[in-house]
Amino acid sequence: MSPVRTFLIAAVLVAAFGAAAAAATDDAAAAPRTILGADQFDLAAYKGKVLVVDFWASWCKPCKESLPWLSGLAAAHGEQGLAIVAVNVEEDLDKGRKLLDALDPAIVVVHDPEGKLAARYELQGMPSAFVYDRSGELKAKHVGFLPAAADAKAQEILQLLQEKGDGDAH
Amino acid sequence: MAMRTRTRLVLLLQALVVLAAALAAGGCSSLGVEPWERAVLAEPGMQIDPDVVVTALDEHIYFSKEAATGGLGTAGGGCGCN
Repeated sequence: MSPVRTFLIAAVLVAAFGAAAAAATDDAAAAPRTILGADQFDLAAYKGKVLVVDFWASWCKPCKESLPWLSGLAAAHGEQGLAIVAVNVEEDLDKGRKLLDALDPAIVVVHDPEGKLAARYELQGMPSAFVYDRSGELKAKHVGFLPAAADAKAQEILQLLQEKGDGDAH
Repeated sequence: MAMRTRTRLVLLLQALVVLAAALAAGGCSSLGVEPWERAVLAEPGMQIDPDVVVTALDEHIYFSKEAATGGLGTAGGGCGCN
């Protein structure tokens, strides 16, 4: 095979792969994540599931660890009834876009730029996570995130997943 | 009669002073930045010690020149427990 021919075949292959990659990117961009407003968040809608409401912001360093950790939990235990709601408290949600895009698609994102939900939950620090059982009862509050304590938190959530709540509607 | 009016006036003034003090104290109830409002405070330029390495070097130079250390806390802020 002549070098020119080899080069042409290689060029065609590169172009084809490039087009495929671009098409895949377009598909991903075509299905953006749904972002709820603070007023649209309804706690009752999660009855029957174990719910973790996590408040985060891109300027909060521990949030950058806690949210991907929660995303991993959602991916592993979503089918067992674990729901994660990630409440962003920044004015500009785009600042947290990189973190957001890496999250499990099942995570529901709420944008709370005015801090309405944050004020209602009376946050003591960032990040703050609120864990509800299947009956919708608040079982735990966590302020901050330490990777060393993550296993204990995961165990707490897994234990709640094994319990059956009153409102097992799902 | 005049005495009674004067007593009432004093009582009214006292009540006004108490009310003014209560209102003034209430004005302090919303001071402070809530945890979710700390975006600007979290910026690197807002840190008391923006560059931990530079501070550690400065302290080392100070120690070397003065043969004395301490009194500056530790680099990076915090409780200085270490």
